[in-house]
Amino acid sequence: MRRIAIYGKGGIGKSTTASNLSAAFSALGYSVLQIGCDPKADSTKNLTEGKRINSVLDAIREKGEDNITAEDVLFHSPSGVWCVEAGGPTPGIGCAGRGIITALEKLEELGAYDICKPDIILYDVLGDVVCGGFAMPIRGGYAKNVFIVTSGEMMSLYAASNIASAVRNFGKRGYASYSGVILNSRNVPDEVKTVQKALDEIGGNIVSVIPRDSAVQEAENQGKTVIEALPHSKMASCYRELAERMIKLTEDEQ
Amino acid sequence: MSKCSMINLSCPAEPSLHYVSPAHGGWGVVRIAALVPESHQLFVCPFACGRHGALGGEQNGIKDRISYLFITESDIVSGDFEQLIIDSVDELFEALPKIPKVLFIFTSCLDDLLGTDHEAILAELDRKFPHVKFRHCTMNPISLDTSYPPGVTIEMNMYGLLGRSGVKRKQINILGSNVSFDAECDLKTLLREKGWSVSHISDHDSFESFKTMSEARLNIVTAPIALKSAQQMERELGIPYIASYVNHTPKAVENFYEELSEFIEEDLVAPSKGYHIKAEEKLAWARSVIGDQPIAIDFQAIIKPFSLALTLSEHGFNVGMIASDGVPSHERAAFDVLAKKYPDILVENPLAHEAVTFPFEGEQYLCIGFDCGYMTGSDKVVNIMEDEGLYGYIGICRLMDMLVEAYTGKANVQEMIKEAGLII
Repeated sequence: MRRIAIYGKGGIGKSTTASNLSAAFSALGYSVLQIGCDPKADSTKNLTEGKRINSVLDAIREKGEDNITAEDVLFHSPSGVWCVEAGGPTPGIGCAGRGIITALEKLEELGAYDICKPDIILYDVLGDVVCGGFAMPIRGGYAKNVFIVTSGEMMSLYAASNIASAVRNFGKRGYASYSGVILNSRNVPDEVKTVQKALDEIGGNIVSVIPRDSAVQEAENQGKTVIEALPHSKMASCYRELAERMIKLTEDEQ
Repeated sequence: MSKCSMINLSCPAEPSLHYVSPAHGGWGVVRIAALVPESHQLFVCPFACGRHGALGGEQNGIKDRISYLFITESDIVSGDFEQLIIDSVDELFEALPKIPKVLFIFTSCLDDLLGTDHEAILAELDRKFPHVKFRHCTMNPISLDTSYPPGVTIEMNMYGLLGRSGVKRKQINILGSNVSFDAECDLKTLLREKGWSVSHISDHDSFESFKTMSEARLNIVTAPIALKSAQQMERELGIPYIASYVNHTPKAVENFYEELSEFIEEDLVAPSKGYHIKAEEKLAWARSVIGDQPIAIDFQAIIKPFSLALTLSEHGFNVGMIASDGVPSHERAAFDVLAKKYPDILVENPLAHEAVTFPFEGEQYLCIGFDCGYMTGSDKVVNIMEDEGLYGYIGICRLMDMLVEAYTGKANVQEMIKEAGLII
């Protein structure tokens, strides 16, 4: 099993990247579980025909901690990807980090992994906040490889630096390792050069450059990933290549 | 307050303001964890939580086995929290007269929000002190409504200390009871006659001796708090279990002996007939003494209050009220029969906000448990908490004796609550 976390600044395109990767992995024949670890609970939206699925925290709120089942929180997408959203508290109150902890613990308790039997687990995690809760997916027993999505914009690179530093701290404990950066282009001048320069300080390599392309928006308007909506497009090929590269860069652990 | 035929089964009721009487509570995780011989506890918490725990430790005679690491806001926001715990263990071991065999590191509710990496802390401590077993435990009452409340996790941590043993004895462990059963308990007597021994954690005064609990062939779970721990022992140590919570119904005890007989491949039912008859006689005798005096049963005193209410009602007692915060799944069958056959029995949630108006004050109930005694102000109160020490047919006999003693005597509820160590 490969356990991969995708981190990055809010709004940088993590969920788009993650859901396209999931669809690509699935098309390659892998069984995939994508877990959205963002209180907005919209990580898997493009895999589920644009519809929001019930999050783990929603299910706990509705049915009570002891009454929920794996079926309440596990959804199988048309492309064959298992989808889970951790969810979060009511905006403005509560503790989102604690929400992630609760959701991940609950998934284990419900035996969700035994039901999906995934070859790949993809955690899609908000990277602006690096409290204990949001760091949970890079702890022991969770992700083994961390990829950071960034653009050439300064704030995005700043977040990438923070995340890489958190991963390295945990790396000393034998947890997840930082496996590189996915450059999600925003058409910033000299973007690749800028990111590469930043990586000279942060460390790591650019794993792939995802060009800015209207195909993404077109697919999203249909509530789909590019892989499903426009399988013959250049963007679909780009995501498929990234998926194949990530398979090579990550370890298949038993 | 509702008649049992009318109560809402989704209780515990909707979240609301709670009333918690001074009589509410049980042994608590600190006292339960202290059952592990040669263990010490380090509480990581804010100052006030520590003070509360220290006073509780003093009351329960275990103060010298608990230490505290007080944390401040800056420790939390700085992220230094984890290193602080590791460093404090060094200091603690320097200060203790003897390094314990086990250190339970308890964290309070605030830790739930921090996502502390306890596995990493324990790994570092294991490396530094290879002869000490470290366990992370939680003192987080906010988890009470989850599948893993503090009581359940502490039992899992305690028995999780045992390693798989190649030796297997004709020994049966008792899990879930906080005290060992008396030597004259029918379970012990009957098993002893068949060459089996019964082991309870409190029977062991050293950690080495405690470890022999892993040599048992069977665990008997006497209370729900230990069920997950028994399941864990089955998984990890290969010890199967029978879940037979304390039940004061002679027929249920007989059923339990049938199940146990099958397991040990020895007949325990025939030799237990005499005890069965005695238990029935005791029930009849207590009924003749107590007459129609209304009885109130407290869910903190009796693990299966609905089953007891049904048994007493079937034996002619006048059960007036059950004080319980809900109907747990293992009591559902008894509750259904009770609601059909004895629909007028009241079910009162002692934690509901209305309880503070003391609607039963002045009503002369014969109370089983001192929370009911406190609610009603009755002076006829059985001094018991969590069925302590009661099991099997002798447990029924003992309970009937206590019921008659309470009926004929005069109780001092305040003193009972104080003795139970509940007021801190």
